[in-house]
Amino acid sequence: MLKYIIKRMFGLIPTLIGITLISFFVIHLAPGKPTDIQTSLNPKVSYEARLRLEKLYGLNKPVHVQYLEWIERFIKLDFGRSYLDDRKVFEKIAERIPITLLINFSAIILTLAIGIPLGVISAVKRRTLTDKFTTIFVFIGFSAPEFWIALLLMNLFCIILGWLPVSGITSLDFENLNTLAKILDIAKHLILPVAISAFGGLAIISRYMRAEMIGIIGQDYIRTARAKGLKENTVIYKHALKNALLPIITMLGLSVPGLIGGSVIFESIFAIPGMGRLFFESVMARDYPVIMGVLSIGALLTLLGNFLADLAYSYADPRIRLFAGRQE
Amino acid sequence: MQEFVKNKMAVAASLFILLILIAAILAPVAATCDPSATDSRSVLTPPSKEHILGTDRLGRDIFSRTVYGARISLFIGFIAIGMAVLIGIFIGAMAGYYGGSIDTILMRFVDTMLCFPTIFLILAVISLLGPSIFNIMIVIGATNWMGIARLVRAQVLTLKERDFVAASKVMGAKDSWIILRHLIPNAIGPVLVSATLGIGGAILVESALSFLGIGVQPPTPSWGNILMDGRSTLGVAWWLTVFPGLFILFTVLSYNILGEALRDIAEPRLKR
Repeated sequence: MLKYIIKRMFGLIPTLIGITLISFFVIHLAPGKPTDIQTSLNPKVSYEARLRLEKLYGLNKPVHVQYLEWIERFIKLDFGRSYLDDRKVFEKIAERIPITLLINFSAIILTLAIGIPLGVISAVKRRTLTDKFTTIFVFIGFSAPEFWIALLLMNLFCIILGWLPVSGITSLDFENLNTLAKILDIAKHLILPVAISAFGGLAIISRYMRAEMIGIIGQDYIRTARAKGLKENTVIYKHALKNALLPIITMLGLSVPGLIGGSVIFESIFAIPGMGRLFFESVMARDYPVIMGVLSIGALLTLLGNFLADLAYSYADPRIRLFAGRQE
Repeated sequence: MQEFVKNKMAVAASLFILLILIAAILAPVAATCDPSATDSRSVLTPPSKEHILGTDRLGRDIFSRTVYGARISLFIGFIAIGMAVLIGIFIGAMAGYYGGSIDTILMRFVDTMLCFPTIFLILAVISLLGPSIFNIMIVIGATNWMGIARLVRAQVLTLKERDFVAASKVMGAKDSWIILRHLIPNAIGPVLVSATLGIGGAILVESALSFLGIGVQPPTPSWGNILMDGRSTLGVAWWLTVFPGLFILFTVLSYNILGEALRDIAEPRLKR
């Protein structure tokens, strides 16, 4: 197992270099210079002041030198300082990550909790009305613009019914609450974003689960289990489900970038101060160091998610480890 | 084909797609009003005989705007995914056919691109280059080809071992002939499935960009910006937000249902 982990870790290096290259060059696609936003909008800034700014950010050097310098600092997780408020980029990102992870993590759990049973039911009751109904339900979640559902539900629950707070993650009196009330307060603010995010991801998990279950139910060992006289429930939930769950691990790893990307929308609509909102704000202000920082950290999180999913899978299914070793 | 006709949902989805396509192409005929004509006497009127989906805060007819918006939204979807298909086929075929270090480099590139949340890349590039329809199409295309590249590569890897390819090679066919004539046509099935599903995704991305204010810019109507226009008046004029949203929902849903039905045909072993 350890050998496999180390081998996989070395495999990540090219992708890592790729991530830094793309993060860096996406920004340099843009016409104009990052300093323009601070200077050209402000007529009082002289040419000399502009040159000084360019020098400060290293923009007067050739692109590849800029890239190498950026990499050197990247390794130390030093992404420079924000153009907007001169705070350290890493600090800015670090304080935004927990809330984004909290929302996405809760959404994943909810998606699994609903998606897996839906997929299993669809597979067991294939081609019945129940199957068709669940299929349409999960497809609607997959096909509707998430911000549209968010707008409608926000209007219903927060404005018309007044059951839930409209935006943010905490109420005004948050500081005065006790611990339990604090947790409840945050939960209340996060119900809608988490539920809507989960609704959107339901189709992927449940459809995958359904296909997987249908494939497994046709296998010989399931026929054997049935022939032994085991109860149908034991066959489905013990023998079939266990095997169908394996590939879901990989699906989870693959869904990380979508979730992080989706946070841009959710955090904007619900005014949640997370990483997605930070990215949107910095994109709007052309805050290059922050854009590069969030881009590469977002990609790193995805890489990490895939890596962990990979390890979990190979841990759960020894065939993967064995075959990976044998191929070489 | 018979199987497809038996799938009632898929037939309904295809009909809806066709209907929207025809409406979009014939927009000047299908629309009941000029989509940008304002009318100060009928501002924010609910759906009525005259304006079947109501009017917005400038008195513009929502139905007509939606019909014209379909043109823009579908156009973006088709061109963006068309581009993604071309890039995906090119990269996938190169990697699969030539193998070796070309394969390694190209597939590493695919892995890397897949690590980025697509919307982050799109946002960064659009905000830097400006939100024109052209830029939006290019960026959606450039961030959605990776799945297709992987599909094509996998297909090409198995196809190139087949006898008819070997025969062609023995007869002295050039690589480009083999790739264009034998490999790509035989690999196209799964690509079409993926592209159909992708069009729905592209329409959603366009609407999400409008939501963030960097999508198709008004006064050109797109489904996304019609929907966003209604956001501020959601409390008093629900029709501005509900109808365009339903159009997006049903269109994307139709493409997804169609894509799934095509997949059942392309990959019969997964018969669902």
